[in-house]
Amino acid sequence: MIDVIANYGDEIVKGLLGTLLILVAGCVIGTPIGAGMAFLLISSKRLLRWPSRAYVEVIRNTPFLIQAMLLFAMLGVMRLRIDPMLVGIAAVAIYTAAYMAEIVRGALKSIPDGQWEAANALGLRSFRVFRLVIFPQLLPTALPASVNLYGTVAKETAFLSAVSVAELTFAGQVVIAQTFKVFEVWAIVGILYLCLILLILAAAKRLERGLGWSQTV
Amino acid sequence: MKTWVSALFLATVLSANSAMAETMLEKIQSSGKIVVATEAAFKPIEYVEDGEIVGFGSDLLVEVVNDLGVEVEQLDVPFQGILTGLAAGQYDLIATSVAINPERAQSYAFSRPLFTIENVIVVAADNGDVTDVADLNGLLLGTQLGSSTEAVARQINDDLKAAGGSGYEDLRLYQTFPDTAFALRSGQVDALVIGSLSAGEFMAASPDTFRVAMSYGDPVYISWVARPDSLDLLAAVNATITRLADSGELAALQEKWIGVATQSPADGYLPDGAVQ
Amino acid sequence: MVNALMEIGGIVPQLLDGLLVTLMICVLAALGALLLSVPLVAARRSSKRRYYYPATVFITLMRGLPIVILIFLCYFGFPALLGFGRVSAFWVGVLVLALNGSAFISEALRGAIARLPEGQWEACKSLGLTPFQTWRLVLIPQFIPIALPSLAGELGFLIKASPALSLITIVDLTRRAQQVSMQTFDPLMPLLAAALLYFLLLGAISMLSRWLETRLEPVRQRS
Repeated sequence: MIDVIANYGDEIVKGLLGTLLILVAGCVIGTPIGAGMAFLLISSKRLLRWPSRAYVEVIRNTPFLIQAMLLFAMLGVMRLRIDPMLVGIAAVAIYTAAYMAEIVRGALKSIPDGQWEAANALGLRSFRVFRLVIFPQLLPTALPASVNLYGTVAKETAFLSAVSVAELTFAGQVVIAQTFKVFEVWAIVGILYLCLILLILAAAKRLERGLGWSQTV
Repeated sequence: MKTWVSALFLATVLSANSAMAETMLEKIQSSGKIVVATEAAFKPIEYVEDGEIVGFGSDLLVEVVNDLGVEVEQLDVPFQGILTGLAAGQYDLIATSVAINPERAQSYAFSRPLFTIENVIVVAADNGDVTDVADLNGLLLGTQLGSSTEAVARQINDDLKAAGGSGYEDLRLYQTFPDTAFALRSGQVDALVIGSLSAGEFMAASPDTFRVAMSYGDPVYISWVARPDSLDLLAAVNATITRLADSGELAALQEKWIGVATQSPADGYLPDGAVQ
Repeated sequence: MVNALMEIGGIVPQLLDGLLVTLMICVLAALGALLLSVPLVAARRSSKRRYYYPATVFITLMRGLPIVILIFLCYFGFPALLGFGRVSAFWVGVLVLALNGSAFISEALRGAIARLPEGQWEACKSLGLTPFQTWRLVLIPQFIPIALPSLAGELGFLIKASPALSLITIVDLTRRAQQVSMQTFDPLMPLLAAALLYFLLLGAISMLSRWLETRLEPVRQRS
């Protein structure tokens, strides 16, 4: 195990950085898109509600690997040459947005309609109502749930190795192709994933406790 | 963790050693059975048709097993773990196409070559620009992850740079050989480094799409693999290959499955520093 | 558009045997997960460290490792390390999905048990019920409304994770779609057909899960 780390450590670290880049960029792009989509999901206009509902249902009811493969196949049909890393980020963003939309929609639904009306009656405009009244109430439920989602997304990124995106699992396969040390490499790669994901899940747990105050109010 | 792993590993090695009191060939003959591993995903050499492993390699395996006078148990094992599995004693012989290269020959024992392929550079049919290795400078290349052509592709890149060129723009590694074909066809890469056999397969499946721009380097010998401690088994396998080569049956098998007769040199196929 | 739909419709029948493999493995794994979750919950509720700690470590591993890595470790890693003979990809797939699922089901059940009012235990005791009778007659009937929808939910989760099986030579729906694309040299249409089948399957399961939840709701409220 030591010799794998000594000789191929940089290869594995490069893979880990690839995973981190995909995860962070994908979530940073996907989160606001998903949060915005939540408002379309609760819109009274069908023209806004139906397409967004269709998007969320399609993404949530198909496996991530199939989504990623389809994205690559579509770019292939269009003969677009895009760096696979960027395609991986796009796949993660598309996935994150759909789950994020449901999280935010759930949080929005838990806020009584009367609050919007009361704030409106106080003369606050919609955006200010959202910023001052609604948004602070979304955080205690939506924030831990989104960080939990990022943990799930981190696990899903391993599927991107199957479409040749240079992330951690793919780096493991490259090293195995050269060393044939199957167990050692998967053990090292597994430990790295474990650290990353448990860290994210621990952060979610902390947020759940830290922001729990509002639930007791 | 480390000690636990080494303890298990030691236990495995020790138990393997105690069974090694008789030689590999004796063990196979006394048990009446040889266990071989095949990755049945390389048409036309070894592949699955109607649930059976068939191909050039299967016909050859029948001959080898008949000469040994034993039963055969054939496992379909993914290439990724196939060499490690042999080292760990999960099976006696790898009966699947493995290219002889210096890295592998340091740890594993190769049979007399079953056939010979060439490494080729494949481009899109309408790409007339690539005629020489130097034309690959600045291009995006693709090949299959973990195949012997991956090492060749890296070697070409090193050679290009050593000759003062810029080298590839990048080398993309794909999981399977059809993936490389999709990538080239859809313009994701400019050229592929693959074996001539694979190139022939997908030029047949998708005519007028690809063109072999050139072949590169020495011929590549494709062999079966045994552990370095089972050289007597390897000698028995080689005896069968030699019998078939001398009688012309090997060439006939090659023509039947591959379409052309290729070389099976009796010696000189091992690189320097080979373990056997 | 119509042509594309016709083409996808033509591919779907070729994928059905892959769909069946996906479904078979996931159903077996979901049932296995339910069985495994019982001792896991017991161990997690145990005050004895020798039960509690291993169960906690196991659940942490399952929550913290991508399914792809678990599959690779169990199919390539451990057999290579331990020198196992042949391992069946099918059963490794069932085992890994079942282990993974059991960690999540057991946590859901543990949460449900923790929410049971303390008084139930005492009431049963004062009625003279043995602990076994308490579980069989009083407690387990209360879990069924929780367990059934969560089992259906778990099945959906496992199906979404199951394309990992295609990476270890199992010819599931994903792998079958790839095989078809290798024959036709067109990856897009077979993938769209596979996506459609996954969507219908997962949609049906989530509808089943919602139906179970509403059907069983009154029972749960009584608890």
